[in-house]
Amino acid sequence: MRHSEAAADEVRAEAFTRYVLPETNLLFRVALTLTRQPADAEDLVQDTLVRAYRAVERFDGKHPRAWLLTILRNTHLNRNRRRRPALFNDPDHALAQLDVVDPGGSAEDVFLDGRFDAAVDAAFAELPQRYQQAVALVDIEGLTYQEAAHVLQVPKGTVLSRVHRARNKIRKRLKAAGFVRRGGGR
Amino acid sequence: MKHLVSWMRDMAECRHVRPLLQSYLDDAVDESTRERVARHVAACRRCGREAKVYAEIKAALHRRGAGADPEAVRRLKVFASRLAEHGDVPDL
Repeated sequence: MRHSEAAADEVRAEAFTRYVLPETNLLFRVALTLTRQPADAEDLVQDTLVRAYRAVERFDGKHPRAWLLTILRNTHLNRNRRRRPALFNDPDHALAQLDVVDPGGSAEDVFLDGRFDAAVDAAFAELPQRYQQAVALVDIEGLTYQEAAHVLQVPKGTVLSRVHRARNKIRKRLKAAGFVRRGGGR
Repeated sequence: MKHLVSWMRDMAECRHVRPLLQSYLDDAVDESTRERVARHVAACRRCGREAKVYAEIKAALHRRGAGADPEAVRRLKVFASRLAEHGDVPDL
């Protein structure tokens, strides 16, 4: 009996090492996007790692990143429910309040210098949180639309819309700040 | 007349391609769309520059990711390794 328990522990440890350990860095960065607080993100990832360890023997080995992101997302939701039950079901009104993408305009040049990243940072900081999360997951963490949708628990099309509108708002801010110059036509 | 027809055709292609630029940069379009957008941004100065603006924004945002606290990541890797090696699972 003791022998079979030891064998099960070994299988669990092996699966955990193969599927979970390599994603620790990504989990922390996605957690940062969700919580926006490094200490909260670290706690969230610890809880996620423990839950993943407990569940890994039932994991079929397919799409480990999606599996882990689901655990992270559910752990985050559970923590929020415990902490802020009244705020949890806020409806998503932000999408409807944003500008429509402007399909027109002239050709643009980007002025790249040392201040460009700072200007992008400032424009990013002004985005609504839902837009920050979507663009952070896709552009900063390198997730696909589908993976980001998994984390945020919204349809893939919502992620696409948020990311595109977020970048468009950043582009407009850069243009207003003189980093993007209107140029000639074709 | 020939120029006008050509110009209208180009403008129609711009209207088709421009909404696809960001998905193209995110590698989230199918192969034929990717080829069509790539062909157009190479030929059209306006759409090519707009694509460049979005690409630079993406690159600048990606550079933000380098700021994740390496010490926090190290602590989490130690925590994960401890789980793997000892099955040391604290109560949640």
